[in-house]
Amino acid sequence: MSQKNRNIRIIPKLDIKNGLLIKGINLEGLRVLGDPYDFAKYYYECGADEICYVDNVATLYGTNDLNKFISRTAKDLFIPMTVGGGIRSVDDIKQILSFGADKVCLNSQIIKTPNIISKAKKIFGSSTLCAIVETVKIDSEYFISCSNGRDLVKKNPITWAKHLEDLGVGEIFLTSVNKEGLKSGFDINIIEKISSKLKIPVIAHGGAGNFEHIKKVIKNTNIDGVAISSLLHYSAAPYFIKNFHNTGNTHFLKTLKKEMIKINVIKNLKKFLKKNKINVRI
Amino acid sequence: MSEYKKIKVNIVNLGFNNTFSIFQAFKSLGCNVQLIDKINKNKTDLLVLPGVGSYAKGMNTLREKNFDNYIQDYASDNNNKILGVCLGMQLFFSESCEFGKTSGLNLIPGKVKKIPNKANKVPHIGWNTVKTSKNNDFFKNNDNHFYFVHSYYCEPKNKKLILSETNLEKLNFCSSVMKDNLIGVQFHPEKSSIAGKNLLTNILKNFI
Repeated sequence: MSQKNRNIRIIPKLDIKNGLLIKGINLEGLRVLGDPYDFAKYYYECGADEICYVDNVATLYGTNDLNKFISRTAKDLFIPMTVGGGIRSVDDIKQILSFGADKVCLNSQIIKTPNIISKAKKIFGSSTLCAIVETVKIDSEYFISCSNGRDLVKKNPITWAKHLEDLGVGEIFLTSVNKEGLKSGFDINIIEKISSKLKIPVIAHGGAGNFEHIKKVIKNTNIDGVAISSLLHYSAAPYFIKNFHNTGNTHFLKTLKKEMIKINVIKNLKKFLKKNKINVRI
Repeated sequence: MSEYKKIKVNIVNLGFNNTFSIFQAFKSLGCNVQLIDKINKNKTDLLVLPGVGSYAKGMNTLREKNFDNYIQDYASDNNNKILGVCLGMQLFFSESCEFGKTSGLNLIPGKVKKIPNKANKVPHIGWNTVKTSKNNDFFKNNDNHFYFVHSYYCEPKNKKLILSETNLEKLNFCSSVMKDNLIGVQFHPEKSSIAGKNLLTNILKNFI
């Protein structure tokens, strides 16, 4: 399916661990960047179309730590918010939505019990349910993973994504684990295969290093949005250094120079995309 | 925003949808907002039927709480204003084809239909523009980009009730509707940044 008048969403993705915004490389080697709320609010003011929070260690430790960020964010940001990490049941979904999230994203639990989707669909509707599909490329073969790239699952991501669509998820959040955090461009091959096969929206994530990368993945695939982390967080981080909590791996942050701040990356990106005939909200 | 302080807004809480955001949106405009879980006969200036969730679940919950009769009764007095958002707008209509046929509140004659997924990705998720189809003050001073999340769209029998339309591939659908004391919007003003706030402000100014 090719959509001529696609509207592309620019979605900052914020990974959270112990209440702090973190950023890793290939979803590992985590660096602490600051208070996620500060970043989310800043991106909202810059013109982000949506905010995505994922609690990176929720699956690992069995915690649901996001609620306070959800309500704080929903109170001040009048754009949609997707929340994921550690969602195990229909009750978890209900709780997250009641705190002010608009959509939930799931991965591990769907792999364990895919019927959670059919159950949740009847209550919340498909459009509230987003599935994360993590693709992992080994040699030339693709697999999926869960728990943020920690556990490899021997399933083909194209058939898996199609299966999720049939089960009733409303959107696919497609992360290329091999590309994540490297800022070297997207894995266009797999993104194209999945986004053109599916009839539900697909968000591409993993690899955005510059505006050209983003333009290229939009022009060469049938995605509906792009999720960005490094490209945004590293330029925003020095801006919030004063509010910053001194825990975790902060060495990196201390070495960031003020000059790294690029004023309003989101707005500049949208202007660039618009100039290249891509529909975005400005 | 203190000019809206005296405006009372009651939001119907069906218990499974995101009422937090719409609550915050009216609160940020200065209104006196209340979530109502059961029928509340207190006077309100605007009753809001919010969105998200499936049609059948929405209607069943309204019926369980006896809200269906209450809203139909309430709507029969033209002085009582109701705003329906997303699923809330769809519930105003006669029937939906979501999970088989489900009857709605039947306040606006018309059907709720599935967006065909031949040419479009369904659900329709994301920002889209609205084109106002007649002179109205609700979309004034706005960039008219709104946030949509839905798989179904409303088709009013009387096309004159359409306030705005939105284009998808090979489909122009009714993105907002007005009949006497009812306004329905398919998008989420509470999630549409400044454009959404402007629209809600215009509704408070020109509808109530």
